[in-house]
Amino acid sequence: MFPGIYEFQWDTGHIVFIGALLAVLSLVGLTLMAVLAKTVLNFRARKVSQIEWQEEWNSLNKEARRCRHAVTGHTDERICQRGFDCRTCAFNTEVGVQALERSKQDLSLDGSAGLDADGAGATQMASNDICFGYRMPSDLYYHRGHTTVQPADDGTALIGLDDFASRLVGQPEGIELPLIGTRLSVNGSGWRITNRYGDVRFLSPIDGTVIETNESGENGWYLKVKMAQARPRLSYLLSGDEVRPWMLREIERLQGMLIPGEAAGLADGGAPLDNLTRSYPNVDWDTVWGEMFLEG
Amino acid sequence: MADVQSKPFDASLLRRGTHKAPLSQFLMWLLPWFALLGFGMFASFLCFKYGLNQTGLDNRFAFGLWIFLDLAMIAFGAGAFFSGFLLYVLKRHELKELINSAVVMGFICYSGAIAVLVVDVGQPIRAWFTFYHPNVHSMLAEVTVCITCYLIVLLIEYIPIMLKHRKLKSIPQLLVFEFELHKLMVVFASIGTFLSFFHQGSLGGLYGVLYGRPFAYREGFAIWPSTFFLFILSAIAVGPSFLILMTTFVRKLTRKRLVGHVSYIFLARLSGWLLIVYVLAKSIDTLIWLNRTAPAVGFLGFDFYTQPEFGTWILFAEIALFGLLPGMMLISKKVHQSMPLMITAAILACVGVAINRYVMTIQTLALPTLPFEGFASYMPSWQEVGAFLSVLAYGVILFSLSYRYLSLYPREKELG
Repeated sequence: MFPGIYEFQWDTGHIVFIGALLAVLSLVGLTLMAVLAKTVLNFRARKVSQIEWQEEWNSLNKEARRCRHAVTGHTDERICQRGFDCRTCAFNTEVGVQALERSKQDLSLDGSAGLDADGAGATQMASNDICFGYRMPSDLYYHRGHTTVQPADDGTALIGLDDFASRLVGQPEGIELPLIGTRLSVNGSGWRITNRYGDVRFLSPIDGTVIETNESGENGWYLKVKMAQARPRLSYLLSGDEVRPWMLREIERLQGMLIPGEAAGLADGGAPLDNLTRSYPNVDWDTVWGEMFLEG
Repeated sequence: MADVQSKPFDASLLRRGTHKAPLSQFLMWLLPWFALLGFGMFASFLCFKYGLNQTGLDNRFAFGLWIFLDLAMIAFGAGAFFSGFLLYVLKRHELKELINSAVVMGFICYSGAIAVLVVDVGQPIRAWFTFYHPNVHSMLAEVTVCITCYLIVLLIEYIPIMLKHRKLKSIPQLLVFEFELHKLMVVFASIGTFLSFFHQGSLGGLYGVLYGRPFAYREGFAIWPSTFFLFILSAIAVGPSFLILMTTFVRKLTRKRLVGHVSYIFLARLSGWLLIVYVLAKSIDTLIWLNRTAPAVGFLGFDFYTQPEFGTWILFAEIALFGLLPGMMLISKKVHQSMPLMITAAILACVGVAINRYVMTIQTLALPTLPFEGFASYMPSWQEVGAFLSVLAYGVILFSLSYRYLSLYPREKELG
């Protein structure tokens, strides 16, 4: 019986029972309300992208989470602890400072360049823009999810896919671009493409607001973005000398997925196919894209 | 890894990188279970329409197959709350790769038990009486309310697993809700532990307070008979073993490695030590009961074991063969290195707890207590068996759907 029901009487049993029941139901209810409140607060604070990336990050395997400096050989094997956000990474800064010292010494010796103080590559790749058969222009900055940034002097930037991603995805049948005015954040959702093999989203490499879209992807860009800062430091993205070792690892990863069980070997002098999905129709491209473009 | 011979029709709904059977094969697997579910629901319908005379139950045997199976399922489902407690409260990360499947199994066990109870009560439309007029001095009222609350907690724990589905997590509101809910899962795990502690215990207390049934009646501590604590101990001991069994079963069916061997060893060790503690406590309790409690009401202990169906063999089986032996096996390093031995030990442990629930339910009621009573026998009717089988079918269907479309085993992609 509960209070208010006929013949109810307060006794120890009722106090304990009703007390415990109310305590449990209140705790469950309050916790759920706290969850809802925090959900609303996260939306208001525009933390959705951050949360989305954190969830994706947790589902990536170790190979995909290698620190950029381990990829480029500047340090031993190391897993990134910061979700590829090198902007506030103390390790990145430390490596960059050390490399800058080294490159100053190298420059004084033979004029060759290395990393700058932020850990970024030189603005010029040592060789031309072709990297293992893929066109990787040196004036672009590269996100680990294979999106690119081409900043302009007017505070805008063009965001697109690198050649590796374009060949991997082929011609998309459908594309979901963000609306003009959408605010993008680093490692947040950029856009999504679909075709008969599956669908995958691409990460935004920079903070900014979408001011123009390009559904066809012609000229190598999909989004034109007004950057959050007029002259942002893009050193958290890969550029210059970092691109080559990174691409080597990415090609090895891809080969490992396309031909499992065999040692990945890079054929010298071969040209990568334009549309890998057509050339390997039996591959689970949905899975491959998820791995390569960092979507769990 | 990325090769696909035949992509399932529902591939866009499946978790990336986990290769599942073609949809047609999956539906063929589900078909007989749906048939069994239908048969069981028909059996239950007969009980609703014509009453409990459809069963083998009577005034003497008020508890039968359904209650025995309810108790067993609730004991096995203890793996859910115990895993949640160990992972979220004690931070034992060995259970991270098992918690999702444990929650689903727990949900199936508890919801299945409630479904059977709905039929067992005879007049389910009046089931709300239990909540509106709870007899606060009754163990059964406490059990009912705790189990209902715990089912709500299990549902809340199930929600994040569902929300992690690739289509649902693409909805930002659901993604953020799941993220925040998961951060506070420790609260629900703690509530679940509290509720489970009491309802597992009260299910034992239910029998221990039956002073009119000397076979079941026990002394104890304050208002709680010893069976209160023994039921809790046995439930947390068998929960990990049941998890081992179910995970192995799913692994065999899917032919994929789903969890690391370290997790199996952790569960085995946990179950083994808890079983040994339980057997020790049970042995002490049995000795006290045989030498003090039962004689105090005029029974010699072995008066209860004169029937061949319930001879002393059953006591020996429950404590030694299906209690101590699997406990010793599960803590043995040699067994940890051998999956067949580990599974055998887990099966023995589950059978042991099932025997305990069986004797507390069936043997308690079968034994005469008054001089003019005789030994009663009980045989479940096909309707009772059918109703139970429908719960089994429901469990298989729900688990199969969860395994296919949700991320029950986070390391499946990596290990599979």
